[in-house]
Amino acid sequence: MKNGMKNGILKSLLRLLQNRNKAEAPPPVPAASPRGISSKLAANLQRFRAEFGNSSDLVTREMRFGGAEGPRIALVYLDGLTDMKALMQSLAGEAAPGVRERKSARQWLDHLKQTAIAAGEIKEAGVWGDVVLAVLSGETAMFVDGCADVLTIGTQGGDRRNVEEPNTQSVIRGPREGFTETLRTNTAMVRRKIRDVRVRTEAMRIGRVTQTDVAIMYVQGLAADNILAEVHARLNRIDTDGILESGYIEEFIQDGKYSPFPTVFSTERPDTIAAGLLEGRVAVFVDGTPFVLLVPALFTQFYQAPEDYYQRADFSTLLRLLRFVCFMIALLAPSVYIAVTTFHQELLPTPLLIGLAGQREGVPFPAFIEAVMMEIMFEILREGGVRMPKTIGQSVSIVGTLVIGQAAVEAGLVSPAMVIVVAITAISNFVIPAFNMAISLRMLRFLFMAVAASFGLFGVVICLIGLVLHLCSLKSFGVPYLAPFAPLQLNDQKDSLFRLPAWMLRTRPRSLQDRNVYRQPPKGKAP
Amino acid sequence: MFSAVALVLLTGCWNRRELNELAIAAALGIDKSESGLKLSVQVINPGEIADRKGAGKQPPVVTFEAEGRTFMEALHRLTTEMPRRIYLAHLRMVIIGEEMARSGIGKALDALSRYYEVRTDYYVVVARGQTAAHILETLTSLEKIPANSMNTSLDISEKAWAATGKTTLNDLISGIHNIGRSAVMSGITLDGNPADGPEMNRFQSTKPPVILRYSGIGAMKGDKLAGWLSETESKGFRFAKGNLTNTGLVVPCPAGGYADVELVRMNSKVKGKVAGGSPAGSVTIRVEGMLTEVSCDIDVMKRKTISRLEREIEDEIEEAVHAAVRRSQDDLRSDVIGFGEAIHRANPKAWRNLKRNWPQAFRKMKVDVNVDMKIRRIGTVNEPAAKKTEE
Repeated sequence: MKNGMKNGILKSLLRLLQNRNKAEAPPPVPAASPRGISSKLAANLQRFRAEFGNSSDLVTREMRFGGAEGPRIALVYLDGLTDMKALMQSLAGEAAPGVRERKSARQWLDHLKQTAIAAGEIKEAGVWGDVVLAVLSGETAMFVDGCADVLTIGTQGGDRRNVEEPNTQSVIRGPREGFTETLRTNTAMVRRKIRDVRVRTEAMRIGRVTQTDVAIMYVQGLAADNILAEVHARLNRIDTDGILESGYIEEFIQDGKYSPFPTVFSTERPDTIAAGLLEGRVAVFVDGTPFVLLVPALFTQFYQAPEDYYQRADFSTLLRLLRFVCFMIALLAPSVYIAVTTFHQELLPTPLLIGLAGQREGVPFPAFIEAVMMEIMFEILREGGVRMPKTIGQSVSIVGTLVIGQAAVEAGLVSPAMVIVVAITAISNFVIPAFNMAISLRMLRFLFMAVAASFGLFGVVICLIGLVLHLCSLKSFGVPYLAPFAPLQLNDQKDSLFRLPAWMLRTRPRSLQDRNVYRQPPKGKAP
Repeated sequence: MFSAVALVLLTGCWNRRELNELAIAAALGIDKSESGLKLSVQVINPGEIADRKGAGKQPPVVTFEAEGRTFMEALHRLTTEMPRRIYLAHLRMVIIGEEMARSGIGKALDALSRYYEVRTDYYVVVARGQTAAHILETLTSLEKIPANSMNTSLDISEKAWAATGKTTLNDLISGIHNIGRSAVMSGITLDGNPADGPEMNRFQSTKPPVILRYSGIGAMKGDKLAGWLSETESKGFRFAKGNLTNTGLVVPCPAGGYADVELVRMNSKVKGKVAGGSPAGSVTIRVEGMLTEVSCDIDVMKRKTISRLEREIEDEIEEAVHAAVRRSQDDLRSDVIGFGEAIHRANPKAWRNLKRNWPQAFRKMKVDVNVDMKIRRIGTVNEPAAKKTEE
């Protein structure tokens, strides 16, 4: 008895495991459903309702087209995804006298397709699966009684977010529009910026369940063939049930899967994407998110803001240098502080040493614990600030930082110098324009702190060397991550650490492609 | 992976020391004692110096003393009376008691130059007529840390006063080994009763009863202090060495009163040669200066007056250098200016014979001194204030 029960449990567990291993099948489409479409209207509608499980947002509207003698037709669409106003207007009312003579269902279908319906995009479908997918994407399926072909009409619409100023990567000077959740709106925004037939958009669907629209955009002739082929190959390789954000795709297609550094650039800004396309990069749009991916992504790109090109060149250059300084601070400040105060006191000027030593009087923890404590405290505050409602988030995080920082010093838990170090580190981290690059620095900082606490500056330097080696080994879609520094590309230096004036930026980055490099006529040649 | 993590965590943080586990030594004093030497150390009390609110209750520095047969033994014995580990990398001053200095400092300096933690950028001075311990116990005003006060005071007075000179450990050690150029050290002394030095209460007064003061330059012979140069001799010595920048010089005016000239630029050359088997030396000094004070009745607008002043100054400097040379030849018998080295450079072959009995040869050596002085500026007024009031 007991044994039998045990066996039963084991078996069911085993079955569960096996089920998990199997790829999850798309939802309840009956396995035996025929591919074809019945010519009977009622049967088709019946089948539709059955497959959607009588979902309340599925609308099946039967009507007679062109008055009493017209054919019986039915519209099937998902309420909320569609904009039916224009379609309904063109279907209402009597058909013109000459039209009434058409008798066969096929003829009616052709008439509807070619003349009667006022819609931009009408396709004919003969396979059941295509029709279902069209309805799921917001199109309207039109059945004509007695005909086994179906019209799918492009009625996508419904409520969508308007184009707004992006929340991330805001600028002082520059366009204020940001991408929305709608793929078509997003591609249009980029197309509006580059009016050239060579801008190509390739559509594909990824996600077995979500069937998410993904579009690849590039400029023909500027994007290198091998990069383009690589993007296609990697996107085609994705086999998953759902893509809900471009982050899913990013993780599937990025190089260096275990590297803390991002090798795919993402942005909310159409101008950044347009600039990227002109440099020969490839953009990947994903429906349902305002974040568009841009590949190949190089290390320097994450330290460049779109505004660099809208402000004066000298100022932009200074800002870029400042960002690299901040990069070093964000990465190294706490670890260098730990190393110097616990191993290399002789490096400090005497008055500074005395000052620091005085502050550390009565602090109960070693400098490393102190630093880790404050860093974690700050990370908690920041994470709390992000998740909180926008209206209170910012004030709470500022107050939290101030109060906790001040209180911790007064309680003698940390030294004031440590608060300064943590604060400058945090602020430097915010200077980095790309959030995903800032995250990787946040993570690496703790590693550096641990190494500094055990080995001092020696350890920090060894770790830095390791970091540089790692960066050198990274590639993004075949392009070395540290280009144009390693390998050195002298011509590209004009727009990496420095930003030379626009009239000096004659060529496109050669690290990406070298077929079509001239943006402006080469020196000495008339335009 | 595991071993990599273990590697990091199991190092035990070798050599790690938190700031608040350190006793930062600002100055060391070395005195002679029966057992060998007595080490006194001036340790900074960082809480007292960095903390603005609670300051003033405790002295900014604390001194500890220990005896030992060797320097390091005394240093290690100090740990028996201190709660923290002595940290020597930020040493500003090393003070040697006069008694110790006269009996030889070579042995004590070896540890300072050999021990890994000590840097060599501090100054070494002699406690003139005092024990180093007394000097270290004396608190200073304005600058809270006496060692810092001594350090910066020596820096400034070396430039502005000329009768002091800073000596680092390297200078000292190379002087001990170099027979052709002996080392020198400034002397430091304290005015007032040494017993008042450590008292905090005395800062209630605007005029502290005990102050530290530099006085004179001590000439070494080998690793022993041979004697002190007077103020004029010290100045002469510094002129011959030629690294003065903004020293002032007082010159008597022809009709009584004084004028004051500040040096703007100077250089000097010490040369040596061997002529007919006997050594000879020469010092050539070029000085440029500006008039900073005229407290007598002269017309500075006249070229003639200026050149007379220049000649006065030339004589003055020449006299001082001669005094320094004479003193070092007759009394101290120590070649502090470095004629031996100059001869070595000019004529290495002759020097090889000469250096065997250099102290004797040095005593008989003739030294020429040439000074060339130019006054470049006479200041922002033309006529002396004293003259106007007489009219």
